[in-house]
Amino acid sequence: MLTLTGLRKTFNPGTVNEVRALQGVDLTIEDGSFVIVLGMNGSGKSTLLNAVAGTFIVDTGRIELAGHDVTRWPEHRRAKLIGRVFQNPFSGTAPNMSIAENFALAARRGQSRGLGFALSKDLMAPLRDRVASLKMGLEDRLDNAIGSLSGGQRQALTLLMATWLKPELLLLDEHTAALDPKSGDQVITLSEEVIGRDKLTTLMVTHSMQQAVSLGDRLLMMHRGRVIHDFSGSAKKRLRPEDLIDLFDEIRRRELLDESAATMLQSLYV
Amino acid sequence: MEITTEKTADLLIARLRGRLDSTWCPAVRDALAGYVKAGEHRIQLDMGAVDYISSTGLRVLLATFKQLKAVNGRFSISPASPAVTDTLSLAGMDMLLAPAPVAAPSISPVNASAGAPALAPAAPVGQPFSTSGLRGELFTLPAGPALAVRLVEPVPTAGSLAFPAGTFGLGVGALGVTVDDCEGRRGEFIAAGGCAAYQPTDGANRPDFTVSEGALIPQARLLSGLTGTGDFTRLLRFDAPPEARTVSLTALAAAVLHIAGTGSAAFVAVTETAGLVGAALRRDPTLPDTGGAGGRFAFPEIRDWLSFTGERSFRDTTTLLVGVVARPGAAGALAPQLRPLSPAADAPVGHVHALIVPYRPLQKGYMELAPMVSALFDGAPPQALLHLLGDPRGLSGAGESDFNRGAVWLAPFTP
Ligand SMILES: Nc1ncnc2c1ncn2[C@@H]1O[C@H](COP(=O)(O)OP(=O)(O)O)[C@@H](O)[C@H]1O
Ligand SMILES: [Mg+2]
Repeated sequence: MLTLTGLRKTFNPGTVNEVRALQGVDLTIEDGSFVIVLGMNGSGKSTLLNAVAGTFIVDTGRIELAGHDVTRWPEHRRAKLIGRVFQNPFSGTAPNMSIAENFALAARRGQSRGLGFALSKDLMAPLRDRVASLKMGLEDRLDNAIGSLSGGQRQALTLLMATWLKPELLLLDEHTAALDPKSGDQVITLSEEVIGRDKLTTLMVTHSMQQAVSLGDRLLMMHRGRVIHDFSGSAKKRLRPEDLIDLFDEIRRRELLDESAATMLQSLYV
Repeated sequence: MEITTEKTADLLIARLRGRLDSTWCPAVRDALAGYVKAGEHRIQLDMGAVDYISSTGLRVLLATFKQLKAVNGRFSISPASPAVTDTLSLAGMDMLLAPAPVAAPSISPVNASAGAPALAPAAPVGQPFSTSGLRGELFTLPAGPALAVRLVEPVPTAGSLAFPAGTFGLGVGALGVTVDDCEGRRGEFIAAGGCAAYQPTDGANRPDFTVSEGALIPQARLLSGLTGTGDFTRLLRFDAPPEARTVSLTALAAAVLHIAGTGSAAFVAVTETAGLVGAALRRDPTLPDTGGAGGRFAFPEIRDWLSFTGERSFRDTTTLLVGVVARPGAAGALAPQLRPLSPAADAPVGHVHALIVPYRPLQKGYMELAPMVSALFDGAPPQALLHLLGDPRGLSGAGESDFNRGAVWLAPFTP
């Protein structure tokens, strides 16, 4: 379970570049819940995931994951509990190392055993099977440098690595946005499969309305550093892409209500 | 495929040449829909030079036929090529193949069934009407009880109000009988013709509504607003004048006051809408303030309380309007509920609510209010409910609502 209480983060406080990126986020995410996070650019989606992952320490608030208060834990310590996949296929892996070595690093996460063990056949056999199941023909290229693969192949592998140790929490930040539609679909199918099979607690940021309605059991809409809509259960199931477009329209209208519109409404609305 | 049109006295003739297959269906569908939106309810389709029609094509023709039949319009195919005649006959769609157009039914035909020559009362006959902002046809309605308009007393414990045909209302409230029915969800409210709707503020994204049916009559509790009882005295069917493309809300209100011949008037209108500017509550106004020194109308707290269209919205929809309007200074006791409709010093003041439903063409000529209003609730449900505003902020503002055409029932009242 992930519990966020009163999370706030301001970047560059007290300067002209001050950004109040998180303005009080309270959220409880049950074990096994697959949560979609939507919001306009700059609404704080990535900042929320980064706050949980420990990219920075929040200004105020509390983060509890799997019974630990991780609020002050550094990023590498949280990494033992958290798997991540970013938008950029070139982050999260070491491009010059082979597929097998990258997996070994992932498998070593949180364990004291060395790289030698990781590259042993204890790891290699299941790894080969799993990579074969991607049907990308990569099982015969485990010794190739990961940097030589296409974006879609890398994202698929990164996802496998991120979930290899069944993390307490999986964070996906627009992990298919940089891919061509076909590779994107493949990675989405794989994500669904892995998340469903291991019942992974997941936070997934996406820009795709279609993904947002068809995936997950809960949907959060963020705006200006806050969660402004939270749909779960049948309310989530009922959502159609048009409903989400309506919600975005509503947000846009909210932004159009500026100070001069407020003055006008004060005098004209009854 | 070529599409050309020709306008005769009471018909639009559209000529198709080529194949009406799936490649061309969208173009023909859009063309036909465009004619209907432009107010052409009598269309003759010349398919003499169409040598193939697919079933997608048949569907396009049938949809237009049904749409125009529903508004006492007419859609027929004449002449038809042998290929078109065969296909339509095989599909059981002979009714589209009319031999020749008949004259427009300007009034509904009198029903004289055999043996019982009971005469239905003749529908009123309209007179041409025009002002600077609109033109149309004005009907005088049978005399009934005079119209009375009241302010809703701001008493939270006041009972519920019934809205049968012959009443109207607008303001802030909720459908329901008990306080519990309404608590936490009061929002923009509208009632006319025995139908009532409100935009709940409890997270529902569509208006809720009740339509009179047998003994069922809409009941609502209002926090503020205006209610009226009595009969409307005039019906105006209006269109944009040739020099303008649309009729603004201010022009409509001015025409209503002009026809009423007094300082204050109420109206119900059903319109084909070009665009709407308005606001709607987001939160039940009885809920406590969300904080902030300036109260709920201060910026930015106002964003939690009110949603504002910000620009002309709901283009090409159909709208039910309920409004109370007055000349500046003539609002009397109702003044607290009325605001200028536009910045001009002599512009009427008013309070107008609008219920938005998906576009449907309106039948031409004389219409009864209650059946017309309840027909708006058939089919696809209402999309939104707005308190209309004229945004006076010049170029940076959203301007005001405007309409392509419509029907407005109106009457004067003494405030
Ligand atoms: N490291 C940072 N330094 C300064 N500003 C940042 C930083 N990270 C994010 N921001 C700002 O915080 C706001 C929220 O950003 P982000 O969470 O990336 O939005 P989203 O992922 O929803 O598009 C934006 O205005 C962004 O510019
Ligand atoms: Mg109002």
